[in-house]
Amino acid sequence: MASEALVEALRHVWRNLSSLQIPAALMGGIAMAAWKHVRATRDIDVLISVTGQPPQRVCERLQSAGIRPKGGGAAVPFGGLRAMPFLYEPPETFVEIQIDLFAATTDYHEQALRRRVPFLLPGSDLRVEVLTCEDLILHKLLAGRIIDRADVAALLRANQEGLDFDYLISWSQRLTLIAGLSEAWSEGLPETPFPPSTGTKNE
Amino acid sequence: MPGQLLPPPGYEPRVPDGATPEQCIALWLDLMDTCEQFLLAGLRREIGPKGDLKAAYRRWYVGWQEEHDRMVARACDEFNRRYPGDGE
Repeated sequence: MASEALVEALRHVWRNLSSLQIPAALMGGIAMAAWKHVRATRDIDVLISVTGQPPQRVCERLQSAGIRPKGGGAAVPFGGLRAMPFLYEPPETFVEIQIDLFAATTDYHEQALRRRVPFLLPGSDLRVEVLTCEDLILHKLLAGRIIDRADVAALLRANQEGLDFDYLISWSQRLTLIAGLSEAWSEGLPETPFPPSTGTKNE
Repeated sequence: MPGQLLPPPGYEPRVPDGATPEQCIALWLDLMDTCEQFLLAGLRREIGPKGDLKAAYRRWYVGWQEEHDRMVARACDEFNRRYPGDGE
């Protein structure tokens, strides 16, 4: 089953990252599901800190665990946001699961990692951590496809009560994503004015 | 433009009220398996009863990865273009 292969791949990569004591947070479909928006996705996206361990060390550890860099060699980022794609084929499966690592090389991403929240993976004793809903929304706005905008609208609708709007709006402004957030807001919460009343001054 | 991305509130498929994050992730895993069954059925139809279903699935997944890689690259470029820098 696809879910078994994906969960096994997640367990494997998470345990290897944990053994290096690297702060990490899931950012893809698993994170969306944790925030009450369930949509089928087929990969594992992880934001990792590189303050304690250099990315090259992480790559070496994963490779020694059978998680191979896609395309032969992972490009190690030195600045900005870059993906390091890996592939892992869990035992007794027939397809390699893609695992994208994103190195936290900016203050924003370090902050997003500090805000991450823990969840228990169903059917196992593995505790994973995911981005907050606000940071997930910001990444979805950056991805920018129609389906990502629909994800933002759904996340806003499902999590309206608990969102930190000051944080979300502040970073949306800094990343010039405020128009996209406003549009998704009108889709997800058509009867609630944007921006919500938080005391934050908006453009 | 309201009404283009999602059904109006109350008309969309939602997770049950009060579901825990763990229950939501379990729903996601169920959905993935269900989608896979539809995908495999579609691939079987394409390759015929004697075709190699595993090979067809692998080919499909490679295509999915290529599209995914383009999306990831674009999101990274967007972030790097928009990020104001640590000094601001």
